[in-house]
Amino acid sequence: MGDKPTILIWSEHPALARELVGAARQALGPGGDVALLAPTGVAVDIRSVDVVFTTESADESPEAWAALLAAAVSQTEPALVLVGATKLGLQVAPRLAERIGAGYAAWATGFTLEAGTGAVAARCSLYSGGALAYHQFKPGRVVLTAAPGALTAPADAPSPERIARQSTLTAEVDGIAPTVIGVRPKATSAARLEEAHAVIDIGQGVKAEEDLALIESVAALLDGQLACTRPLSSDRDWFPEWLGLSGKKVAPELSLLIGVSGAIQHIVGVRDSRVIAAVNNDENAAIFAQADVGVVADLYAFLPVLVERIKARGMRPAWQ
Amino acid sequence: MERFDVIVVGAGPAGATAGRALAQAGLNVLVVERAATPGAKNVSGGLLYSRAVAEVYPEFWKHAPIERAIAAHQIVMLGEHTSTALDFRSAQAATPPFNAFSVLRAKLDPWLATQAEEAGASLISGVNVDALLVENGRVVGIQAGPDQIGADVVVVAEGTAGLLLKQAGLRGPHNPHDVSLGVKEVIALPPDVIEERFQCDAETGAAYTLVGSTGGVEGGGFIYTNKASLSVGVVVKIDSLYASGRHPHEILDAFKAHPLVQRLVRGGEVVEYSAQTVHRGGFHLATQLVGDGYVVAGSAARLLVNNVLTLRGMDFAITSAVEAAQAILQARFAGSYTAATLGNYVERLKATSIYQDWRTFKDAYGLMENPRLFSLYPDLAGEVLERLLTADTKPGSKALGALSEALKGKASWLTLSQDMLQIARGMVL
Amino acid sequence: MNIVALVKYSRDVTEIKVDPATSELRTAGVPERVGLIDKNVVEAAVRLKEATGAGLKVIALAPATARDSFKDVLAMGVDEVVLIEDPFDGEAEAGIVVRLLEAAIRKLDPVDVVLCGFASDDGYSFQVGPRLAERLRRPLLAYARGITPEGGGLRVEQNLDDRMQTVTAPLPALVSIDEEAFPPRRTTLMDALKAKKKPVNVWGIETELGLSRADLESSARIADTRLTGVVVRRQQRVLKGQDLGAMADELIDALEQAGVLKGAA
Repeated sequence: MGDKPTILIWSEHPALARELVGAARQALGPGGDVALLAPTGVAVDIRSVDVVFTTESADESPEAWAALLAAAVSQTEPALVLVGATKLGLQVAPRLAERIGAGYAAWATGFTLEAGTGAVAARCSLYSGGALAYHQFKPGRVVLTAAPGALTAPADAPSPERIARQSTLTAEVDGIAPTVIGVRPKATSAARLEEAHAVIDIGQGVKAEEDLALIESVAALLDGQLACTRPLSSDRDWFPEWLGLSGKKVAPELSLLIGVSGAIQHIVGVRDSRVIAAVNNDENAAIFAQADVGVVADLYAFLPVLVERIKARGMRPAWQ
Repeated sequence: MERFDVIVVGAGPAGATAGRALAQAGLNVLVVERAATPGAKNVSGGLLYSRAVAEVYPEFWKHAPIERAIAAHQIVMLGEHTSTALDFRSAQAATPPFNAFSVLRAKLDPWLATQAEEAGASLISGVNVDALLVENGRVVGIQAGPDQIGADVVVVAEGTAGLLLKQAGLRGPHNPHDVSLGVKEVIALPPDVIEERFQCDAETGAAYTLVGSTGGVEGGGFIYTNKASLSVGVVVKIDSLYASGRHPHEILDAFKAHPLVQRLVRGGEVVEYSAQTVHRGGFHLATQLVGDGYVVAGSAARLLVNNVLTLRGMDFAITSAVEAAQAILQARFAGSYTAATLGNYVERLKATSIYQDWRTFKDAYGLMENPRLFSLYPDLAGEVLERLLTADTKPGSKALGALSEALKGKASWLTLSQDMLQIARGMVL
Repeated sequence: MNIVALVKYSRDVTEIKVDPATSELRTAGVPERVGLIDKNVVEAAVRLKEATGAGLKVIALAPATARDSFKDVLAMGVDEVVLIEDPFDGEAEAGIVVRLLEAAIRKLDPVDVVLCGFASDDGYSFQVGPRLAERLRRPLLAYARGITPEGGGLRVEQNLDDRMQTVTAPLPALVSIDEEAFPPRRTTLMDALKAKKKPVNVWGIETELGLSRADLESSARIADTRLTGVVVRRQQRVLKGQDLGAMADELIDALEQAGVLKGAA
């Protein structure tokens, strides 16, 4: 590994890859190298990268990415491999760790890399965000995954322009990957949830899809974007995306949670909101412990009254 | 149809004990419990009186998960801002055979169920019995979901609600007047804090019975010390609670806010909250204990001794289960399981000392009908003592004078003396 | 055909509380159980057993005292539970757990299908499936929402981030179950009675698996882990039991004070 440590980065999402590069650069300072395995078919304009690997392979299976990353590891000998925690990344990273005998931890929210020794320590989200684990790894290579937004580098961090060495990687996948026989893309949301000032987040307390009109009337008044818990997306198919540990994370001025029970896996997705308000008819719902202000009421009775009172009092969002 | 010699419905103290006794005698016994683990859904104040239990489970305190041996009883009348207490401590109660233990049902019931399993009974938890199978007025088995299972005799030990008996038409609905609601919290505190506050040592503990400060709703409160928690609750009459329009947890919160109670529980963390209806334990509420093909044991049979100061359900349940099991074995010997052959259970039960206690305290029920016991007298006691103990600038008076002053406008001397007589009849004479 | 379902026995993380003053996690007295995600794994395995007539065993890492916790799993239709007696009290890192599971699967060979959850309730780190696939050199059909036996192999409907994908693989193979897929069935009294006759076999890591504790410990890559709780710092103000209009006004007032809403200029 030498005394100039390297961090190798991969995510299939360019934005997440950029985030990880920013965090790596900050951790390394000017002394180390950042290597990137670039997403397929995406031109990556990342100035603070020292080494860029590209691939011409069209195989985007986890097995193929693990093989490519293993090849990149043997070329760059990184102290740390950072992988984006998507459903794909969470398949690739543990495979890689097992293959190269590295230490592994998921859901990193911070890490340190000692320049001299290459020793890695990581802070990781545990118990679905209810706790933090501080891992000190034994000497040797480490693989970490990080979710979007989990490792935030300051936006104006100086990023010295580097001239990246480029090379093309190929890797052989042996015959153990499943065969893809059909693909059905999921609808993606047009809404830019991450940029919304207010998020109106609904859960299973909202019974029927027709009821969304009521929710939308609240959202319109608060200049909010609609979002939901996982079951409303994966089971009922109302929305393509959901908030939570396995979904998106937002940090708006206001999150208004309607009919959301407050399972920690979901709360992780809205926890960084500046203000959290909740409406739920179950007084014992866990959500009330997670909110700044909660209303115990039947949402179907309460929301029309809320809309009427906001209008009557001429209230509008502070950012408008 | 799958068959067992005996099916026991419920794995509480009564069900587990009946299952154990019958399995020990070599019968093929099925015990069905609705909670995922025995005790998970069971609520009781948490005092287990040990004498009768030790006859069934010798020296159980050496093996069973008990919390503390209760060596101190406090009987307290809570006025609005006063408390008047009788503090009874017994070194004898701290040594075998003890008097009572605090227990947590989530620990005790699994232990009892294990005793039944070790004796050879089949215990199935997490399954709800939907109905008793009745043919020509005779109970012949149980229905649970899609499954029907037959038995020579069914031991109904389903707890207070008695839904199966009601549903099978074997019992009428109970009168709300005869039912109380208990609400209870388990409040975690470090053992050393408990030992300091309740003046006990690592093995012993205290039981508080408190009257008053239940917001005018007729009932009382209790505090029992466990190893590292307190069981704190109130038991209020359901009709009185409905009439008050208040939520049960409000009554408990008000009780916990009384200065005396607050000092005992402060700093603790509520780790468990539960509510449960309980029979008020009147002797006159005794129900039919046997019928063709079934017997009823424990609180399903409304067996509960309540003399205001003590509330005995678990030991009564265990005693009743043993007598029921013996009667079943006799009926088995006779080769018939009719109300007549099983009726021996009733005779056996009547011969037990706990049954006799039940009859002895039968007047306590009427005593608890007296609203002044819960609202007037706790304050009165505090007021009288306040007058006697406070050194103010007015000339003092003796106790009777103080009482006379305190009584003014609240109750007559006649009422007071009638009430005293009633208390004496219920508990003393 | 032989199926193995991997089931995690773990703490109920919803019962873990955080000391608000010290951020310490209070894990004492937190109940342990078969995980919720793992019940779904068993459901998927039982359905595959029913479709194929295969044998079905569960492998779990747990203390020997947890034997009774597998009654439900057996009642659902599993034939046998292999309980690997955990020498690490649930504290071993995933890399070690994967080695234990691998050894148990190899000992049960031939195993045609291994099913596991996409993650565990507590660790939630998504790693056992991919790591086992690497070690066993078998294809992994991850995030399955549907599993169909087909042509001597399996067809699986995968729920990925941006697409649903249908994949096939020959046996032997590994399948990981997607979140909230295969909700577990309700079991009956007869199921539970039959389950009483099914075995829970306790395997020691040295006696049955031929592994050495020292070797396992030396394979650990994490030297030390320290845990702290995340303390919620919200105002937790709850409005209840009032007239709806009054509560709406109070909510609006609170949002105005917090600078989220403003009145007409």
